[in-house]
Amino acid sequence: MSTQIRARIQKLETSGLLVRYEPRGSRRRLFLGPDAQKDLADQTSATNMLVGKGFILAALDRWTLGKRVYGKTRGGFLDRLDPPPPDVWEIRVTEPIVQARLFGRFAEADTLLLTKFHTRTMLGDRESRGWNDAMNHCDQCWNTLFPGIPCFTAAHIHEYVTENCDDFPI
Amino acid sequence: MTSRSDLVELTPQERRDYGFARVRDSAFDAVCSLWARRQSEGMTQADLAAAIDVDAGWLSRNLSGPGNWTLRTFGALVEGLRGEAEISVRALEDPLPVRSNYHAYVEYPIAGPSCFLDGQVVASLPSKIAVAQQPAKPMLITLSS
Repeated sequence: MSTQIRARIQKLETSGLLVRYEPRGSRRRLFLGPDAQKDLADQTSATNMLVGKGFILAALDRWTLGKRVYGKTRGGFLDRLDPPPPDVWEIRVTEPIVQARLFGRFAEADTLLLTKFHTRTMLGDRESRGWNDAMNHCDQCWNTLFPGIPCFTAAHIHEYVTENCDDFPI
Repeated sequence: MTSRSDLVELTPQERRDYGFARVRDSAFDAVCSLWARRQSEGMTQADLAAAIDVDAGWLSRNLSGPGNWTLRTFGALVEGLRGEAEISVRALEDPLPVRSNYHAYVEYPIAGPSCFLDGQVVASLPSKIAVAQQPAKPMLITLSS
């Protein structure tokens, strides 16, 4: 499984469909799909304009640099969304004014692939059409990039994030 | 695709946001570490709230995330947790505090045009966001009890 997905990632990187995000001293892996690349690069993207690229990058750095990842119970930095579709994850950028949600899936443990950045306000309430559309978009992106290759699935967040993961109650 | 350093080019405002977020998150991590230790020693939220005379709701919100934190919040929590904050900032050009042979992408080989790592062109990489020009700010906030 790992060999298959790594080979596919290599192919997608070569074609430019995936971009790796690698600040100095990376401890975890992060890849950006085409839409996420655009959301990050385009100064006029909703998340850059309303949330701010600085806050987005700080969140990406928290992940890649191996800083503490908080599960649902504290900080809520990383959370698995309720299916369907299954195993869609979000990185939460929780700034006081406009928040962002970075959607993606795990290719392997400690290897996150982000498909699209959303502003929290555009998503609306949980289980709203906006949420469902965004989750389905993530699922479609994965299936397009990795046809026939399932994403990484496990029971507990500590299997997805193997080091420095805090999911203990407040 | 060539180097993607354009993806992480930041305006001055974005640099301010980035710096603020990184510092605030480091402070939050440091407080959470000591809070976890105090909890294991038997301290409760009520104890902490009483120690610094704050509302239970305020305390719960601020232990859930640093979204509204100020330096005053940080200082109050450090004091309430009977901690001592030590803040250090190192220069970007200095070596990383802990150098190791670990490389996160070692099993993910790629090939292609240029990209930067530690400020130098080190490989031919087509699809790697070159963040060396805006590297993660080195920063360490530790709390000792």
